Amino acid sequence: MTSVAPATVADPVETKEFRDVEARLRERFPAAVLDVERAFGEVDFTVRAADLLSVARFLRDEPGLEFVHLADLTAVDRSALPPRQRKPGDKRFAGIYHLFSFSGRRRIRLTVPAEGPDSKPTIPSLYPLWRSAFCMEREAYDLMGIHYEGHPDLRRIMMPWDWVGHPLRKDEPLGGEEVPFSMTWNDPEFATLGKQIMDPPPTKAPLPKGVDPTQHMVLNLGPHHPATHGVLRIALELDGERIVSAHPDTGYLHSGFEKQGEHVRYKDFVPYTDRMDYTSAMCNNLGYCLAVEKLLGVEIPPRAQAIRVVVAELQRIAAHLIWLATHILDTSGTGMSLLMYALREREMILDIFEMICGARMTVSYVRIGGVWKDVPPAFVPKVEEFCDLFLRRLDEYERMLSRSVVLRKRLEGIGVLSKEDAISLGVTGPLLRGSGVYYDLRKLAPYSGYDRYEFDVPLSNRGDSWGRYEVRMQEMRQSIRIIRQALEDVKRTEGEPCKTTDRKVALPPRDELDTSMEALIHHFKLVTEGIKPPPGEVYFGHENPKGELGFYIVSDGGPKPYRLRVRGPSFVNIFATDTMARGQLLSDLIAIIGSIDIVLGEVDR
Amino acid sequence: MNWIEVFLIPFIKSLVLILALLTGFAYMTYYERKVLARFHVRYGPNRAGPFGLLQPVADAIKAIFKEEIIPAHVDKWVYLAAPVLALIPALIAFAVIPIGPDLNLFGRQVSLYIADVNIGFLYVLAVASVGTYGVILAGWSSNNNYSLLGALRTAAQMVSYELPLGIILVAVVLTTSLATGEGSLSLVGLVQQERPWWVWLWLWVAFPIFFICMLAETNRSPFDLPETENELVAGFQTEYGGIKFALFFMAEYIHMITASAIMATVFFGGWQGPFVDRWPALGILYFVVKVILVLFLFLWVRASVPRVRYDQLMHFCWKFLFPVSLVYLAITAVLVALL
Amino acid sequence: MQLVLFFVLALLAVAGAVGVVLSKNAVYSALALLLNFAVLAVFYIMLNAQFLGVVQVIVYAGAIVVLFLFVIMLIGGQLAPDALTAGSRRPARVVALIAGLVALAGLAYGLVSGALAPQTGQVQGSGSVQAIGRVLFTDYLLPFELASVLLLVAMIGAVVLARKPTKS
Repeated sequence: MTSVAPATVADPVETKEFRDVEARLRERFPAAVLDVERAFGEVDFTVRAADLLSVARFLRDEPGLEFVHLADLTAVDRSALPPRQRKPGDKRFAGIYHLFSFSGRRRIRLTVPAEGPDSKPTIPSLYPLWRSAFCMEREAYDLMGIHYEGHPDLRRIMMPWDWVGHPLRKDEPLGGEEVPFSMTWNDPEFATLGKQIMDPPPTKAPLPKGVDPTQHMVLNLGPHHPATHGVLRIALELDGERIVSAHPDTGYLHSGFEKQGEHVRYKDFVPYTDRMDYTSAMCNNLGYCLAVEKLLGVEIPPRAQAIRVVVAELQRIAAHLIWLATHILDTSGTGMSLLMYALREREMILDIFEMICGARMTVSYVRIGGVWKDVPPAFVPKVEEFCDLFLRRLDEYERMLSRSVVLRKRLEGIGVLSKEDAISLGVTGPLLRGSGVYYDLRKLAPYSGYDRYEFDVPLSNRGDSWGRYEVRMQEMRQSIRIIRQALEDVKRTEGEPCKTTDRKVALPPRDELDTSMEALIHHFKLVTEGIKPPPGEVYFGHENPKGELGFYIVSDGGPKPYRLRVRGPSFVNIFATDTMARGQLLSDLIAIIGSIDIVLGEVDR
Repeated sequence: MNWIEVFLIPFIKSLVLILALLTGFAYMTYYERKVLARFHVRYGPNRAGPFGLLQPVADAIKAIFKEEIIPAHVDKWVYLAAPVLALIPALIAFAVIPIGPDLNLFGRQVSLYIADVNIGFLYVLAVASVGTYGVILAGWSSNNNYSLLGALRTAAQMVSYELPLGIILVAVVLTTSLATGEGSLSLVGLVQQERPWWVWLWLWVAFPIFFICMLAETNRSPFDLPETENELVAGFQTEYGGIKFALFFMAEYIHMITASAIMATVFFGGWQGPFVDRWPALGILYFVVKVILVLFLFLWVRASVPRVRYDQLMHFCWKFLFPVSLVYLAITAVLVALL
Repeated sequence: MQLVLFFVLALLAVAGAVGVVLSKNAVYSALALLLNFAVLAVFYIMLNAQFLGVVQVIVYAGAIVVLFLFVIMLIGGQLAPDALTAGSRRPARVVALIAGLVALAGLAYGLVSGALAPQTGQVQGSGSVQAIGRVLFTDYLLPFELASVLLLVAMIGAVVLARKPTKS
C-alpha cells in the first residue's frame, strides 16, 4: 500500500497545443494524417482507416508520446450534421478514439472515417493493441453498425442478439417499435394471450466463442443471481469449480441513454445521468455538466465549485460504502452485519443530499452552470459532523475487516490484474490504482478546483482484490480530507452566487424577473429553447467512484446534442472479469465481481 | 415388561420430543433473527404479536399454504423424498440425549431420554452421516447446475468433517474414562459421571475443534457452502419452495439444536447443575439454558465471521483440524495410559 | 414378533438388492444399495451386534454410498444404461451370471449342509463395543493392523493415481 502525492505539473503551452504530437505523426505517417483540428483545448487527428493500427501503435509505444490508455472508443454517424460541419468527401461513419498519456498527462482524439458502404462500414480493430477494444468495439458495432476488421468476436453486446438494425444510426427512429397487440377477438395474438407465458418460443442465445459445452460445464451466472449486482449474466465455463473462462454478457438493462440523449435538450439530460450509476448520481451530474460547460466555455463561480466538490466526494464515500457493504456481503455470505453498518453511514450522506435538494438517490443537484440551489445553513455543520463520525466508524471497520484472516484469505491473490493487463484492458478507477497505476483524473486532469486541495492518491501494487479493497478504504479517508478543505471554501464564500452569471446558460434569479425585461427575455429563451452551445465536439473524463466516466459530446449548434457518448467505467471494468477469473474458483468469481464494483445501470446505459 | 413401558411411554416421549423440537425450531428462527438483528443494528421481527413472538407461526402458515411447485425437469420421487430424508436424521439424533434426570411423573419413574443406547456416541455419528443424503439427493434430483455443485460440496464437506468429529469423540470417551477407569459410549452415562476439575479442563480444550466440526456438519455459516446464496443462488435447495423448502430449513435448525444439545451434554455436563438433587425438574431448565447458550455461539459466529472458500474449507479440515484432533487423541491416550 | 419383523426386513433387503441390479438409473441403484445397507444394519442390531450395525451405517451408508453418488453425479448417471446395453459388454454379463450362480450354489450348500448354521451359546454381549474392542486388540491384533496397512497402501495408491502428472 503506497500513497503517492506528486507535485502538480504545470503543462507547458506547447504540449497542450500538441504541436509535438502533430509533428511526429506527420513525419512518420505523411499520408495517414488527413486533418488536424484544435478546439476547446482538445486536438483531433483525422487518420486514414488503413493506417489506424500503425498510427495507434506508434502513439502508444513511441517514447515521449506514450498514449498507453485507450480512454474511449466509439463511433459517430455524421449523416445528419448540418452542411457547415461537413467537409466534402466526408464518410458517413467515423470511429472516434480517445487516447490518454499517463506520462504527458494529456489526451488526444483520433477520428477515423470508416471505409465501405453504409451497410458495412469498416475500420480495422484495435484489439491487437488494447484488449479494452473488445467490449467497446462490440458496442460500436452493435449500436452503430461499424465492422471492426480483426475483432475476435464481433457480436451484439447491448441489444438482444436477434435484434435487427443499429439503434444509434441517425435513420433509426427513437422508439418506433410497433406494439403488435390489438383488442379484437379475431386477432390470433389475442387467442394465445396468456399461453405465451407458459410456453415461450425456444430461443437460445449463441454461446460465446471458445466455450465448449461438451468438455466443461457451462454455468449461466445470472442474469438473476444474488451476486451479480443486477442483471448481469456471466457465461461461465467450469472445470469442476475451477473457471476455464468467464464471459460477461451485458445489455439486460440497456435503456438507450445515448440515443435518448440525442433527443433531449442539454439541461434535460442531467436527470438521465442520475439513473446511470445510481449509486453515484452527484458525480455523474458533475461529469456531464462539466462536459457541457467545457463546450459552452462558461466560468463557474468558486462557491459552486466548492459545493460541487463536497457533494461529489460525499457521493464517492456513499458509493464506496455500497461497494464495501455488498463486497463483504458477497464474500462473507449471510453475515450481513457490515451491510447494515455501511448503509447506516450512507444514510447520513443521503440525508445530507435530501437536505440540499430534496432527493436522496436521483439528485440532479449539479446543473449546467453551477448547482441547483445554494446549500442551506445546516449543511456545513451536518457535513462536519459526518466527517468526524465517519472517520471513527471507518477505523472500526478496518479493525473488523483488515485483520480478519478469513477475509484476507478470500481476497488475497484473487483476481490478480497486472499493471500491463490493467492498462491494456482499459480499466480505471480503484481497479487500475489497485494494480499500481497512478491514474486519477482529479490529479492528472484536475477539474472543479481539485488542484487546490491537498490529497493523496492511494495506490496498491498488489493487483489483487485485497489491493483494491485497501485502495478503496484509503480513498474514503482521502475524500474526507478533500471534503474538509472544500468545506472551508464553502464557508468562506458564504453569500456568493452558486450559479454562473452567464444568462445564456443559467436562469436569472427569480426577483430579477420582476424588474428586468432583459432577465425575462433570457428566462423565456432558456426555458423554451434551451442552451445552444457552439458547434464542435468535446470529451470530458472525470473521476467517478468507479473509474473514468467520460462524456463525448458532438454539438451541431442546436439545443440538443448531436451525439452523446457515455464512457462508463463499469462497462469497461466488467470485461476484465475474464482475465481476472481464469483458473480461479467459482467462489472467487464472486469476490472478483465485488471487487470490480459495477453498477449495471451504467454498464448497460 | 408390560405394554405401557414398552410402547406407550417411549411413544409419548418421542411425541413430546418431536413437538418440542419443532417448536424449538420455530423459535430458533425467531431467536436467530432477533440476535442477528441486534448484531446488525436492526430490530428484527416485531410486527406479528408482542415482540414479534408470533412471527414463526406466521412463517409456518405462509410456508404451508404456498403453492406446491414441482419443476418440470426434476426427478420427481427423489426430489420429494429429499426433504424428508434431510429431516428424519435431524429428528432421531435427539433420541440418545438425556434432557434431564429421572423424574417421578404420575407415580412412575420416567427417564428423560428416549433410549439409553450403550453406543450413544456412535449412534450420533451414524445419524449425522446419514444426514448427508437429503442434501445430496436434493441437489441431484433438482437437475440444476447450482444444486449439483451444492450437493457435491456437501458430500465432500460432511464426509470430511466427520473424521475429526469422530476422533474428538473417541478422545472424549477416553478422557471420561480418566475419572472412572472405564469409559462409556453412552451419553446418559456420560452426564451422570463425576469428574475432577482437570478432566473438565482437558475436555474443554477439545471444544473449539468439536464446535468447528459441528459448524461444518450442520452447514452453518461460515461453512454454509452447500447453499452459499452468493455463489450458488441457494445451492441444493434452489429448486425447492414452500413447505419443501421449510423442511430443509427445519432440518438445518434441528440439526443445529441437536448439535448444541450434544455439545452441552458432552462438554458442559448436560442437565447437571446446582440443586438438581433436590429439584430434578431444574435439570431440564439447566439443559435448555446450556443449549441456548451454545446456540448463541452459532449465531455469533454467523454474524461476525466471513465465509471461507470451499477449497479453504477442505484444506482447513485435512491439514489443520484432522492433525490437531489426532494430536489431541494421542495426548489423551498417553494421559490415560499414564494415570 | 421378531420373526415377523425379520421377514418384513428381509423382503426389504432383497428388494433393495434386486433394485440395485435392475434399475436403469445409476442413482436409483445407489439408493437401492443404501436401502439394502440400512436393513443389514438393522439385522446386525437385531442380532445384538450394535457396534457392527452402527458401523455399517457410518461406513457403508454414510461414506461409501455417498462416494458412489458423488462419482455418479460427477460422471453423469444417465450415461450408464447406454454403456451397459452395448454389445461389447455381453461377455462380462455372462461371467457375472456364472459367478453369481456359483456364489448362490455355495450359499445354498452351506445352508443345507449346516456349515453356516447359527452358533448357539455365548452370543450375549459379544456384539458390544467392549467385546469387539477386546477381541480386536488381543486375538486379532495382527490381522487388524495388516488390514490398516492395506488400507494405507490403497490410499497412497489412490493419491498417486489421482495426482496430476508433473510437467517435466
